[in-house]
Amino acid sequence: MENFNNIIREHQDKIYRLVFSLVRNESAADEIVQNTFILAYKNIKKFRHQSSLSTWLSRIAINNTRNHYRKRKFFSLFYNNDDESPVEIEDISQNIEKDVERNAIMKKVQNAIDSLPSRQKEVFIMKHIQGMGIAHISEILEISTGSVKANIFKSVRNMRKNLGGIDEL
Amino acid sequence: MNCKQTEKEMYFYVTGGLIASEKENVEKHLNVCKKCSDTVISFRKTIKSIDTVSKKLFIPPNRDRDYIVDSVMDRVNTTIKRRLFYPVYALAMFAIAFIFGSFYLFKSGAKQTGIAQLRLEEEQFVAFLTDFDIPEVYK
Repeated sequence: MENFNNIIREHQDKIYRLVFSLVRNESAADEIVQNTFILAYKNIKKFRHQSSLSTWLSRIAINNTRNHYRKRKFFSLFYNNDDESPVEIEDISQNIEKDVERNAIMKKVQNAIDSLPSRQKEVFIMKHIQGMGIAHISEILEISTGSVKANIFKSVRNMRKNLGGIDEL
Repeated sequence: MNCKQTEKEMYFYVTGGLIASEKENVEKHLNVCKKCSDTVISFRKTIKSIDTVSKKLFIPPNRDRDYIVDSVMDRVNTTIKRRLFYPVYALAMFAIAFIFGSFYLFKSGAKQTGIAQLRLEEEQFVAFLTDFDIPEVYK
């Protein structure tokens, strides 16, 4: 039990950052991360040490995030859950015009990322936002390194289309 | 290098993730392929746009997350306690099933005995009657 406590402490920050970057909502990330560790506890005997513990936990977290999206998609047929929408962080600065423009870009980027197919979104976020290596992403998602690279290319290309050629700040 | 190969390396070319020889190969292709060189330009713009907002969008607020450990350990301990009670639940269910089952069998057995008893009495009564020579009144 003490060991598992230490495992959580050692890995929770990394797993939380990964999940948050995918869902961009604190309460959803809390739930997914907790479920990840609970599932890991229940299945710890099935862990075959073929990959590192961190990779295994990341894989469980990714699967849980996918399940979260599937549930959200299903329940959105019945009601509109505004609590799940990401929180926008507003900059309070003297340059209000710039803040408005930045918020507009943020919203566009948010929508562009959310409209990506799940595989492309995961690969892009893991590579570009989390800075993971290609081999590590390939291990977590159980796809080839060539497939990782192809998905990165497609994700940026699709985001470019969805962003509609906005100029950067 | 062809377009497909260049596409796979494009992100790394734009973000500076290629070694010198790989970069050289990509640049050789870009020098002769307008489509790919236009794609590189649009890639740079897209990634720059994302980078301007990525810290606010993708990085979680800096908070103490010890509550995650506490919450997970609570749920794990509840699971363990529940597992300890499984044999007790199973035994209780078995005992209830046994009591009801026995009660049902006893009742149905008693009912069968009652029916058998009635049949025996009926047969005895019929035998008793047939023992009598009933005079044929209308002979």
